[in-house]
Amino acid sequence: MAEHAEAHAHDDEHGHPRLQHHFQDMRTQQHAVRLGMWLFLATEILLFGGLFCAYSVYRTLFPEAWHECSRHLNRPFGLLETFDLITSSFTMVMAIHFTRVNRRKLSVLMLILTIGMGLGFLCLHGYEYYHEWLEGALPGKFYHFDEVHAQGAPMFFAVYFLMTGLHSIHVFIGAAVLGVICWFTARGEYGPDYDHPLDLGGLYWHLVDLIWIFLFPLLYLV
Amino acid sequence: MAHDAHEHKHSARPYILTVLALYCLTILTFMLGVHVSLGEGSFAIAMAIAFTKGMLVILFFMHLWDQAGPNRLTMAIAVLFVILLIVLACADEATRFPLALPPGSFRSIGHTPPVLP
Repeated sequence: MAEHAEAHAHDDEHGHPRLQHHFQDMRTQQHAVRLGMWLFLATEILLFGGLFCAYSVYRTLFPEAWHECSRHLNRPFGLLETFDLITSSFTMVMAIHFTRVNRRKLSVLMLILTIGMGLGFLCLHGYEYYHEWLEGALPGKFYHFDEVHAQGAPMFFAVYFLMTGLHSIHVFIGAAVLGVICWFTARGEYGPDYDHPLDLGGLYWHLVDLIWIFLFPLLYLV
Repeated sequence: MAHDAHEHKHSARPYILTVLALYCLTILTFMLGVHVSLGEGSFAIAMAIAFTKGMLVILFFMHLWDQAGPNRLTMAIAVLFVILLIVLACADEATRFPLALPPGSFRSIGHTPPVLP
């Protein structure tokens, strides 16, 4: 017990109760958690990098198929999804901003909007998938789309479903993570002096937006 | 650290300007992609716009503008490796002789325009 009391006294000397004992101060801790998150985001970029590589190789192999198949994707929907994710990125960064200026209710509202737009994105994309399913614009041997007969067309839809599918999984995970963070924000766990989980959740959400920024012109505007 | 001084300003203005720029660039890329045919150049322009949008998100939304050097280095190296992967894989594919390419693909033996069943 005496040791505990001593440890607490030691923490208090350096400031915040959230400060882990192995960090000198909150700033060092924040640098460490951010660096850890950036390393994780780097692995995420490399994960998508493999798919971007597959996209590039098959696009150079089957340029006609890429052009024709891209025209059959729902471009207005793609544009709407892009606006949706960009706006959700904005509300995410505003949630962090409002936490830092100690406006908890606004921060929670922004997080709810962010999650709502994330789920909205999934609904929009689900609707697109449904139409592609009905048309038979599916990958590999399941492809039976009547309107495009270019060689390599099933490859376009394989790459399309893999890239957008992996991205949608990330949107879903991001929305779930933000749901937990929103709950803790509403409980007042975060404030101007401690917002690390909110900060990291935001970084993840922005990465999801960042990937879509590249997917949109690559898939919809070939 | 000097760059941490920015973190304590707490102004929402950069975020609003960033999201407006992102909206404008999205509309621009959509208009160029759908209504303007620039041939081979359109891909390069679309990618240039996407990179600009990506940089805006990374620098201002993800706060890399005022974060420590190692974080920037991590991101830069990840992007560099993806670019290396894509460039080298495409260089490999582009320098193959036709027999090594999948049937029906561009530059392969017997490459024909789209065939109707």
